[in-house]
Amino acid sequence: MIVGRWSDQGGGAIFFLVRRRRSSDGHMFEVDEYDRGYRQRQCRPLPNVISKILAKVIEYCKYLVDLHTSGDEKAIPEEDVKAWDADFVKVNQATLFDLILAANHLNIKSLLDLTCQAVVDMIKGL
Amino acid sequence: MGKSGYKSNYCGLEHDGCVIDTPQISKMHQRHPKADHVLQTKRCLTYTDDVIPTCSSLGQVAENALSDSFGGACESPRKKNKALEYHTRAHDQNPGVATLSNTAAGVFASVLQSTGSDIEYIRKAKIRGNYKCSKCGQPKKGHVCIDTPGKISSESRKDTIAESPRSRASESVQDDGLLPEKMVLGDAEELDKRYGGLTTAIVPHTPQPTSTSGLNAVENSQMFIGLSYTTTKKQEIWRSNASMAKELTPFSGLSSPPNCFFNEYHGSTGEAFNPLDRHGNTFEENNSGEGCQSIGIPDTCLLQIMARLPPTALLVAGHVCRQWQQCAERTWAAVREAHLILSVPTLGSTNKNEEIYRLTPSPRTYIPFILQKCSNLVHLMISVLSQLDDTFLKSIASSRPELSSLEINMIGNGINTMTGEGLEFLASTCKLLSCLKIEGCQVLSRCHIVNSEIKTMWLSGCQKLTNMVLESPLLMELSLDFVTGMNANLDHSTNCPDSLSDLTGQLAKKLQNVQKLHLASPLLDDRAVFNLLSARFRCLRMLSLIYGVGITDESAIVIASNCSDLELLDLSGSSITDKALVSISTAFSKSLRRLLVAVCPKISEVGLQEAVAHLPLLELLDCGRALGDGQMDNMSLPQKGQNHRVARLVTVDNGQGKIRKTKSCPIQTGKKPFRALVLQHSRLEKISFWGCSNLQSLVLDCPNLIDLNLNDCQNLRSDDLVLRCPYLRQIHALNCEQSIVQRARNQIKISIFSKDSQVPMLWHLDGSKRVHAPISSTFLDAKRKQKGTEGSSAAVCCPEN
Repeated sequence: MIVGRWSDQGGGAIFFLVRRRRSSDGHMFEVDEYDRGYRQRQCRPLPNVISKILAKVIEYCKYLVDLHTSGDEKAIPEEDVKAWDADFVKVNQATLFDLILAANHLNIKSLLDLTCQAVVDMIKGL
Repeated sequence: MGKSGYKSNYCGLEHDGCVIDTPQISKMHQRHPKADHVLQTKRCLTYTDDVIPTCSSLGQVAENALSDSFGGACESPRKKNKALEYHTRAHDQNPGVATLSNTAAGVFASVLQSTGSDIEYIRKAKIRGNYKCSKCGQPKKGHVCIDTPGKISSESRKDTIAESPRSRASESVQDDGLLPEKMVLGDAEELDKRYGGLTTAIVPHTPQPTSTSGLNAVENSQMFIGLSYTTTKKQEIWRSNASMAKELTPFSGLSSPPNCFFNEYHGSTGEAFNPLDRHGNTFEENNSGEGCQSIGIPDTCLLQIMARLPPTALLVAGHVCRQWQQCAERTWAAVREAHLILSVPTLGSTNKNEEIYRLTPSPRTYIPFILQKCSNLVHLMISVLSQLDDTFLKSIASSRPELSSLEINMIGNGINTMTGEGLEFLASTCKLLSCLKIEGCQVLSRCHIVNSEIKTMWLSGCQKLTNMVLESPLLMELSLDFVTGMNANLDHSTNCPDSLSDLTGQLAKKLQNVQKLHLASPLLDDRAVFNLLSARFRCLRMLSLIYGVGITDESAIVIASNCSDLELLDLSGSSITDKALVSISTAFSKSLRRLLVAVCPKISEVGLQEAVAHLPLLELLDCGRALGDGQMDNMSLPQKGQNHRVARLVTVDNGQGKIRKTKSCPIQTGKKPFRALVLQHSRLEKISFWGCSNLQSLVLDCPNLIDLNLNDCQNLRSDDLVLRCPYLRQIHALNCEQSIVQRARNQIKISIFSKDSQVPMLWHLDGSKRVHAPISSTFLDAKRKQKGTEGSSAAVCCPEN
């Protein structure tokens, strides 16, 4: 069970609870979301997301949480954030692709932006 | 009977003549113990003489049978390959051509026996999955399945349908892949490298502040279920630049990363809304729960990616494969707004082949091509780095005649050689054109514009304009700027005050519906104003005649009498006196909200106080450098090392109102008496006293004041600064005494306190655009000398950027 919290750019803190769940088709992760803005409890199964990718996603979300909590004091400069982001997407393309799908499914906009931008840079040849 | 060749070589059974019956065959084949081949029992594929199936139906049967029997439980890849090969061969053969042997069994036998099938061909053939979807058991063809299997499928289906609007919107947003935001593609960094600091010149030209990775919401997309190409309301901004020429190698430049996502040619996963997978879904493999390793990128994500590509890369990306082509088309169709950069392609790259380089089109050719592809393009903004001429303008007009808004900016060394002919062509071709903003019309001298839809027209830099006829009944906003790009060396013989007044006279005939009028020219004088105002403006709300040193009180009186209900009056840079202020304030006391009288050296504080007293609705007052004669002796602003000391008309928009900073005016030698000003107004929100260096004491009793500008009020003594403004949020206090800052702080609670100078920009009338408004001071001084104003030594200082 992993309990974490991140606040997405859309505002509103999202608590999420991730647990492994056994189903007929094998292991799946489930995410319970409690979104303060919407006051809904959503149980979203994640069949497309494997554990490795989920670990990366959680790492990213934790980084976002850190960023937001310390962002009030303006502790982290923007270059560091960019450097961390650039580092985060330096994975092999299959993982990047899975990250895109995971971000799409989990509706994490900033991660989606980041990963899509990484792909765009690759396409442009940079 | 008696067709012994009909025996299956696998099971050895004989076959009767029978009718082809597809579903039963499949079932039977499944039940047969040796379920690894097609032919089985009596009810088998045979041919009778009268029923000769076409190859296609044979193929179909074979496909079904094969896919069924070979699909899930196939262990032997060899047999699977054979089945594939059969299928492909069957399809290769033309239906009806009698290359098919008489006996199906013979065909099968020959196929199935062949072991030397070309492996290459097999490998290229599509890997097939089950015929039926393993989640819901329905045949997969044309079937959309939620990608959660088992008993959760119903719940998840409910979840996805009953999902919060946010995720629904995001899903539908992502389905179209296009965020409702302006995307500034990362060419800004490249531009930075190439042109030094010129990206900053680009950035202010956009209506909202952008950063290199900026995503600014411009318009919210409508939420809608399902997808439709034409009803999307997303917007995108594209930027292309010369370095795109390097990437635009249309036939050889497909980089490998796109291919990596398509190692296996599968269709996309079963996303909920995905009508595009015509090609993929039939052969989809459902590996639910196993991760997405073998499934291609879904369209939603692909659209996200394509939305961030610059247009040249998008053109290339459309050539990758069918899915990419569809997504590219959708992306093109969703472009509503484009910001393109017209520049010369560089010959920079050293590892370019000559040949490939020749294939690279220049921006002048591919920009019209791109415009043709964007079938829904509505706004077009072009930043010109190289040269804009009539032919280019005509090509834009003809490739995108439904354009409704065109903006042309000049950056760097861009040259605009557009003439009236090009403009007329544009206006007549683009019948829906409603907004036209062009900078740098230096060559434009006469134009006759006939367009029934045009509402906004801003032409700047039109120094040679002498004749202008506008047949546009809907024109609401007209701005003619003769000032931008002028320098003292320009020959002004073609543009003298007479011509300007003629021009205004011509304009006046057609300007009945104009609501906002802006003319900026040093040649404005009373006569021009008279001519202008001979038009009967029915609903003029904003009038701005700036830089015109020839404007005197008489113009103000005429304005006061002719116009009613003015909301904004800007007579900066003119020679009006207190009398004009009095007449203005009496005439527009019920409507005037913004009064800008910067750099009017003849105004004194008496007039200001009168004006403020009589204008109850006043929200913004700009009287920089307007109190008496501005004294520059103590100026310590750094001078720019230019040939001409450029003064800038500086305006800062803070949302609601405008604060105009002044441009500098000639320095008066000798001391002038210090002035004191007491202003009391209940609605004033923004005041600017920029450059009023002889202002010594200031008492402001404006409870609604939000912004106060005291830059360069050097002689303002802190003891004499009284601010009774509880809501004051911003004070600009450059070059003031230090104690002023402290004192102001003590008096009010200030949240933003800015001591840096403002960027010298000029907001246009509706606050939506910033342009530089440099004007040569020497030219101004010459004009002033002609008019006989004081000012022997004209030392002009300029604010630093």
